[in-house]
Amino acid sequence: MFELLSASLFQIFTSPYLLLTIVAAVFIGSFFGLVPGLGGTLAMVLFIPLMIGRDPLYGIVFLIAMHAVVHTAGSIPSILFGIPGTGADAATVVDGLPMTQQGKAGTALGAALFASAVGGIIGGMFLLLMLPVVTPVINLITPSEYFLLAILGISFMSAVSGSSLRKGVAVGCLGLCFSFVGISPQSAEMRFTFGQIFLWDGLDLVTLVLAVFAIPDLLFLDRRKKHTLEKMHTYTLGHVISGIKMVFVHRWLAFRTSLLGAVIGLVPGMGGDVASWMCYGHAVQSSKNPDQFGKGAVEGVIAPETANNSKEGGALIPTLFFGVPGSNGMAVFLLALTILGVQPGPGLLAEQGGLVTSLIVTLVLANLLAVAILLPASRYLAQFASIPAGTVIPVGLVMIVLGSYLSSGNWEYLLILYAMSMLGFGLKYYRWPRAPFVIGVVLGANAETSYLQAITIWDYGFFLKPLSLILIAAICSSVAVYFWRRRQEREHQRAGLHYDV
Amino acid sequence: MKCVRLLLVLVWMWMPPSTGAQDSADAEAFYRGKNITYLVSGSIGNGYDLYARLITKYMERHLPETSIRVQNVQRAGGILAANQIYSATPDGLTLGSLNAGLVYIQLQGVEGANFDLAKFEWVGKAGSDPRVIFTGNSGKFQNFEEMLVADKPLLFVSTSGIGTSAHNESLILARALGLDMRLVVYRTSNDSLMSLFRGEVDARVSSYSTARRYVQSGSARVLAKIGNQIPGLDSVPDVYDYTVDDSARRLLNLIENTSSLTRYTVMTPGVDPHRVAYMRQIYRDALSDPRLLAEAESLELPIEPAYGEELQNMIDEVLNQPQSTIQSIRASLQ
Repeated sequence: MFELLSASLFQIFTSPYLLLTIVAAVFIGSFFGLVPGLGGTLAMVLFIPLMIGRDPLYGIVFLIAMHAVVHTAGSIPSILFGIPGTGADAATVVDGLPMTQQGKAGTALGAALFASAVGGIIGGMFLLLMLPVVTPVINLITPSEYFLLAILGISFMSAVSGSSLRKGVAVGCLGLCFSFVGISPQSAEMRFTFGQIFLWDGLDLVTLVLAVFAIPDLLFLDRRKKHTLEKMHTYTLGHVISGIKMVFVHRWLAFRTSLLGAVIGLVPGMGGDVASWMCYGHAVQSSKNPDQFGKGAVEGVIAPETANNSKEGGALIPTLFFGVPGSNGMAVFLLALTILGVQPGPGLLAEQGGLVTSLIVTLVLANLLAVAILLPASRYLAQFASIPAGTVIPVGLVMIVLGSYLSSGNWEYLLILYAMSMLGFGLKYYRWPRAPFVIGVVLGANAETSYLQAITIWDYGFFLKPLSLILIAAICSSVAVYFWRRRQEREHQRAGLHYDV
Repeated sequence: MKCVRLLLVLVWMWMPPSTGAQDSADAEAFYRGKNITYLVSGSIGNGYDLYARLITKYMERHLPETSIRVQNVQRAGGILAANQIYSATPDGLTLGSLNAGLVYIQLQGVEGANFDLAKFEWVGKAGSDPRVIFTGNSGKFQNFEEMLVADKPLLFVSTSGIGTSAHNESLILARALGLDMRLVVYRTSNDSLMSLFRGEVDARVSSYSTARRYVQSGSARVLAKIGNQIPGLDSVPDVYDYTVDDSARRLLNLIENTSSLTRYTVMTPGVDPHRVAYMRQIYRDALSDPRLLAEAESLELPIEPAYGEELQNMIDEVLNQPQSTIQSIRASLQ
């Protein structure tokens, strides 16, 4: 393995043509990430015809480098405008946008871009370390584990509830109810669809996040008049560097969420949404200052960004070694592999091990390059955030409407956007937490489907599998830690001290 | 009144008779400089999308300065896309590619499906997708006979949610062969495949194009085929051999015929027949283009075309089922 890796490193770093291919791919991938509604899958589809008759190494290096950096660039519109390009970028909005509104756009961008690179590198390392044990590890993660992982994520709702557990749980349960919109996977009954076909497959996550976060935040700009040129003039490169430093300060969080993202990436169908929202929940749950989340906590930017990029390393495992794509982007990548004459499957490592290690090197290199390119550019991109509220609000609303339409593909979703934005505005106005709502929506459907699969296959016996028991213990610990912290907090308050566990 | 009739006859006689070439020229003139919308049921990158993007690319080359914009209409198992094409203005500027599973949706009489497949203007189809029953290498059944005498309920995977072909065809197959089967429903085709490879579930009804990759890489094996002759699967048993009951064979026949109706292109009902004929010719030209065939081969998208009226007859045959078969389908899909 070490020989293959060093040969790949040598091959890539001594070939100017390969290096240029990676640089070009990083630029193109960044563009597709920056513009909401484009995304990595579309980039892959558009470039696939160019792969016909190409050298497999160059084709794979180009596609993987392009796809790897889409979410890195996608963090920029999420932070500056609160407009996520995909569901996976949506969690960054929760704390990224408040940071921008507080004049910390540079810090948020620095943290997001560097965290993305860290995630991408750890994702690549994860893939490398998994190579010898791919099959047994993949076989460990079954619907029963998906279900318990989803429940673990839902248990983070309490952590993101802020000062009132009751409010958080109420909003989270409302999110769970919204996750049940659509056709029941078991009985085929229509649930909350009101005779509307566009609701059959459930609600579009990007539309929900735009409605619950972006629109209320935009409308509040006008009320608070914070979004002014004056405030944004404080932006310097120092802010970007301070953002990078924050990733070092929260290095263990970055490591944990990168690892969690890569593990979730292993599971086809779980998707980037689950990875980023679960990691956001974990960041709040493990923070010393959970009250700061939703108000501009940098950990709330670091966690989803690391997960977004690291999950690509995990998603490559089923794609390369089982021929089963871990995400939509990977499905198109799989097709590209076939066009390039590479046969994915269990024998890939033995037959074309050099190609696999070159892919890992490219994954890491592209993530580093993206930061090198986007960090200097972020200084200029952040200037967009200094546009006065009077301009930002109408432009932002147009972009939100476009983002919702591009993501859902149905104009009817504009009605959902309108209705849900009233809910979001109400939650923000009355200071109810909004993050539990999205966690409920994202994980509710996953939990339900996985539960039904597990119960059909194993009956209730699945609760007694060894990994299930470990996950049940993790869920219990998560809830117990929350209540222990709440108790500590109350005791400190009673003693007249500040909470600092 | 007689004068009016005479006048009409004179005008009719004075007007030159329409010729095929003239109609084609008129249709070509109509399409010159126009924008066509081509709706695809499914997300970017799925099989329907790849076929659609390939075919429209070559149709554009044969059309006179006409651009085709591919638009993905996801959700509701293709019903949304079908409804949109069906209710579009019948000017010939809306085309689309729909999924074969809509046949079951129409026969089932699903609420919200506001279309009649037989009334679409059928332009052509690019491929066929014969169905097989396959299992992962770690699956407990070595052959189809073992599966038929299993002492526990069989676990079949249903993919991409209820209402899809895989879901409906598994249920119809179970009814036809009297299998004691439970469906395990997965969110996407991908996680269902992993479940199959882990040996958690017993089998999956699927197109051979999906199964082939895994069979070739040694991760899966085909247990049975449903009717169609498939190169390389001569020794694989055919499910028809396990039933002599006419009603059961009609159900199997429906699956077989539906599977040959894939990757098709339709137009809104009621489009001027000359424009339909012109578009069928363009579609035929595109699918005969050696550059398209070469590109399709490298993309591993098999081309097995059928055009216009032949295709219209195929869909009529599929939809024209005896009432007993329709009742049987509805009962099995409930």
